[in-house]
Amino acid sequence: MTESVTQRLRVLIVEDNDLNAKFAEIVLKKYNIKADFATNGSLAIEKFLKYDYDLILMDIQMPLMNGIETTAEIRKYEKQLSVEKPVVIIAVTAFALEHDREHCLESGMNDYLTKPYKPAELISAIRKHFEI
Amino acid sequence: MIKRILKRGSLFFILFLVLVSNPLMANHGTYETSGSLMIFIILSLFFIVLLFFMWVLYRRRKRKFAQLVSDLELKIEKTEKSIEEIKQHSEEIVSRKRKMLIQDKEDLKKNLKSMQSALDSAHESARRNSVLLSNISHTLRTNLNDILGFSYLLGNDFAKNESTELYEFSENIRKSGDSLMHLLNNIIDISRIEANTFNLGLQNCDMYALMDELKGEFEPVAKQKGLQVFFQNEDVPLFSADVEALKHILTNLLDNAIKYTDSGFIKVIHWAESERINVSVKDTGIGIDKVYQDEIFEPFRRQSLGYSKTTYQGAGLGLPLVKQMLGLMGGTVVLESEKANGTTITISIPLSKPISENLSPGGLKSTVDEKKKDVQLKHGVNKVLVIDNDKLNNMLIKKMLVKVPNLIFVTNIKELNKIIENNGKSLEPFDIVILNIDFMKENGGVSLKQELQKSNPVFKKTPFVALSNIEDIGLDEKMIKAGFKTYIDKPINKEKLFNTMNTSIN
Repeated sequence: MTESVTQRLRVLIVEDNDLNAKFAEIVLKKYNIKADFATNGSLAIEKFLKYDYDLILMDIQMPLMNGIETTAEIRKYEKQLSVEKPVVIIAVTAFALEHDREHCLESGMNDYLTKPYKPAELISAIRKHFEI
Repeated sequence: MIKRILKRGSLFFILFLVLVSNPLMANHGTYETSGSLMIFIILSLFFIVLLFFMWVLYRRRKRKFAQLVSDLELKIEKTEKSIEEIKQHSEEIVSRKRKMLIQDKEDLKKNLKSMQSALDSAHESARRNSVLLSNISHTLRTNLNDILGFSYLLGNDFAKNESTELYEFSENIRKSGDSLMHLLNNIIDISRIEANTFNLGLQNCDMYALMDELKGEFEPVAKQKGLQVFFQNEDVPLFSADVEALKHILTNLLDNAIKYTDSGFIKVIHWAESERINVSVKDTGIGIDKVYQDEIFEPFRRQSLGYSKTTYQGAGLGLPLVKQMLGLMGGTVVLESEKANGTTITISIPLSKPISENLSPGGLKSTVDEKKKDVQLKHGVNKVLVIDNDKLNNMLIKKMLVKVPNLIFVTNIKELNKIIENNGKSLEPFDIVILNIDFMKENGGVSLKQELQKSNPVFKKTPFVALSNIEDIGLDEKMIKAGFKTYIDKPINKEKLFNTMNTSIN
């Protein structure tokens, strides 16, 4: 049962640093979760509109469109789409100050994880929202 | 006084005249005795002499008096002169002082100006420093994420494959990364505190959860050193505090306790007492010499400085940071230690009331808003054509119309022609066409609709929805006149789109 749920968990990793993205991918893979990638905010929005995701891991500092703007935009689209279940967005960022956290939550993110993070920290952040 | 003497003299004279004239009068008419005349003359002479003396005396006194008066006048004159001098002098002094004061004022102004500019440049450099610090921190964290993450993954794999040596190597990388991370956190926090930019973010703190987290983090580290860690918890209510800061404080204390203890145990106890939360971290480590106990809370003052090698690594930032953070939180720290006899550090912070829970993040709030809308699309909408070159909007429509089995998007004329040509006469009519009125050019959609309806019978009876990029008053009427069934403007939402489509379909 749990396994089938995990397989259905669709995750988008929004991250411009490919090593960081790779690490997240490997951690998720260990839990049988496959992930998609976007290297900046506008690509993330395109993918968000194209596919259905349950979870987005969102970096904050990115070229073109940062994670906070991207999240606000996604939340706006969700409102337009009247989606029943908004996608869970977890900030995964190297900004670690209290006001960074507040900014993230204000922009509509559900959670906040600071880099560097341990695999267990990522998983427990996901477990707050999904059964994996 | 002289006048008084004269008065007295004339009084004597009159008395004398009366006394003398009496015997004269008594002997009047006899003139026998020339003796009495003689006496009279002598007395008169005597009196004249007396008068003379008195006059001389008077003159002398008068002269003396005049002298005195003139002396006095002179003195008065002198005094007046000196008063004048003093006056002049003091005026001079006053004006000189005034000048000096004006000069001082100007100097002060200048000083103030230069101080202000110094302050400004200090602020500017502090701002630049904090930007630099923030950038450095971001870069370090991003890279440490890779170092720590991949070394962890490596370690796991090596452990699985039982490659003990390789596992140790990767663990070494991870441990070094960890201590860099710890140092980075301390540096950032201490510079933020010193720059007065450390703001406390209040959250509700569940002490048990926090302790569990610390236990999970430190138990394995202690175990590796052969140390035991005990956590002893008493009932503590939920309270509000900067949880991250509190965690950072306790992390520093536990980190130190493990670092400076080679054998024995570490014990962490927390309890609530008279509106305060207390946590004590006790170790059986090397202890701190009494001499150093005061300065150990000053930054960069770790025992044993200089080039000499010490067994224990560290920058000595931990305890100063603990003290400063506690200072911001209204907390205190007490150190009890003896060299070679362990250390107990007890912190105490106010037990503040928990904050109300409805301050949850925006992401959750928006969910509530959306639930009330529940418009459904009419049944029997099976084939929809959307003509718009706005790809993002098309994606949105695609998401909204996910239940429509035959949904076609066209973003340019070529694609449109292809669809019409490919199907030839077998092209089945659309239930609805959504057309951007400014497709390709201004009003391009309007003319396209006319062309389509003229050239192809399939479109003749199809309802067209006018889609506009902007909201424009009166545009809806115009579009209905132009033969569109309904009108919708961007940004679209599900409710709006469904309503529009429902009214368009007969």
